[in-house]
Amino acid sequence: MTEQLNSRDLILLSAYLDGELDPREKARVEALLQSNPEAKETFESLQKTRAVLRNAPLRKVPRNFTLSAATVQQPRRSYFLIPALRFSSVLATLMAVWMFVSQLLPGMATRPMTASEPMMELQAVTGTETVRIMAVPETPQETPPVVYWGGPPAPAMGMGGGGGTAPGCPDAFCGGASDYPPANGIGGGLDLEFKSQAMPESGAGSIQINPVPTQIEPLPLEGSGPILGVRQPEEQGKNLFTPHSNPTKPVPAPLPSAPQSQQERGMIRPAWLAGAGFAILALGLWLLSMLLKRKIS
Amino acid sequence: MDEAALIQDALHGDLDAFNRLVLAYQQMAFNLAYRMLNDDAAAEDATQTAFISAYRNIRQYRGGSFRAWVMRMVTNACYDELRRRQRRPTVALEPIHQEDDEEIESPAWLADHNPQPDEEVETRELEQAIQHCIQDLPEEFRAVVILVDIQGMDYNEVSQAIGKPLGTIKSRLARARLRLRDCLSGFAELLPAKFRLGKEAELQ
Repeated sequence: MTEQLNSRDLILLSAYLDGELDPREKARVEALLQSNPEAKETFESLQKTRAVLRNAPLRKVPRNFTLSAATVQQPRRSYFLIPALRFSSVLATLMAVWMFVSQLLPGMATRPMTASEPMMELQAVTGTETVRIMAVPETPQETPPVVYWGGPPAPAMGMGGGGGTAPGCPDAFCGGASDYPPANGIGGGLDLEFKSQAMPESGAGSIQINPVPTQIEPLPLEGSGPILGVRQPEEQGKNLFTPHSNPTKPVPAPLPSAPQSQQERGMIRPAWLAGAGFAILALGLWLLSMLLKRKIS
Repeated sequence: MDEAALIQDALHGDLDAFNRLVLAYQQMAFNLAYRMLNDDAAAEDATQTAFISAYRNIRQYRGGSFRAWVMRMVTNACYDELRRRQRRPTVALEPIHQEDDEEIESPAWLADHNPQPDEEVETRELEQAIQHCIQDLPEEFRAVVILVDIQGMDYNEVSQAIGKPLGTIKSRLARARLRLRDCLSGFAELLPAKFRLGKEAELQ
């Protein structure tokens, strides 16, 4: 009975013809050739096909292909310039994607800093809140000299305004505004009111206000600076105030940044500009590499 | 000087030593390129390109069959040329006035009209038949069957030259041979009696 030869048998027959089988495969093929006439016929036809090809005439070489020194020292700059351009293009694409994605993902966008940002930093710590206010305690002995250029100062009516006023607090905490009439300018400083009594509790959904100290011990001013004193080395880097256990004492929340939001609407974030720049760079590099490749081929 | 010494000298940049290797393998390289590309000029270019590439990259030769390594350069040069042809197909030269289809199959305007011995004519026709059947093969089958059946290389060398495992070489070779067998059976009258297949051989 003759079995149909499968592709595995044909591969074995072909390799048997070249003597490229291991002993086990060789025994299997020899058994197949004895038992299967179709396998034998196929093997003979492959044998004759190979004989025809082996007897195909060789073509004479038209010339010698020996190399000269000038032939092998051709410049090859363009061949490695193309991969370099492509690699740079990929890098620029990745940078552009990163720039765009970082602006689109929530929490990754960086808001540009504007002048209207409150300069006071509020740091909330669970249980004990600390308020850092950059202030200078009053010096009891000497008032720093103030020089007015061109006469006494006029009331601040322009942009910028002055610092906030804080009735009831030491003058040192009222900043420069205590020396001047109330500022009528735009974007004035934060008015802090230090009161000993508790503020009425706000309703649900209102902002929980952090407590602030009611008594502040002024630190002695040392050194010879005209305005700010120099503290003792062991006191440098420490908070000026420590919180007291008075959770009912409120501190005003930072002012809403409505003017800042209006400013942001009209401006383009630098990250978007950088992303667009990287995208244009990637496209340009890729086009350049394609042009070079076309020129070479 | 033996081949190993020539290779060592070529590795140290000795161009004369490399050129002696070129002279030893240029016949094989050119025939491989011609069978792959079916064009004398293209085969010439591919062979030259392959030897230049071999000299420039000879430090990548890690031992083994140097012949297989050179044939790999030739095969790569041929694949590059075939890809270039696919990107930019060329139009074959044809006579302006086509009067019948016979001119396309064997252009009379290109034929050499000098008288030739019958044997030479038969050899040329057989060679053309073989070349026609090889060109009908897929490129990956073509290289394997040329290297094994025409150049006489063993499977390991072909595996090194093609860059494919032995199993792939065996499989491609078997399929290529079966296709060539079927194709050559159509040119039975050109084959010598001892090479005729099946019933044509029995009729002799």
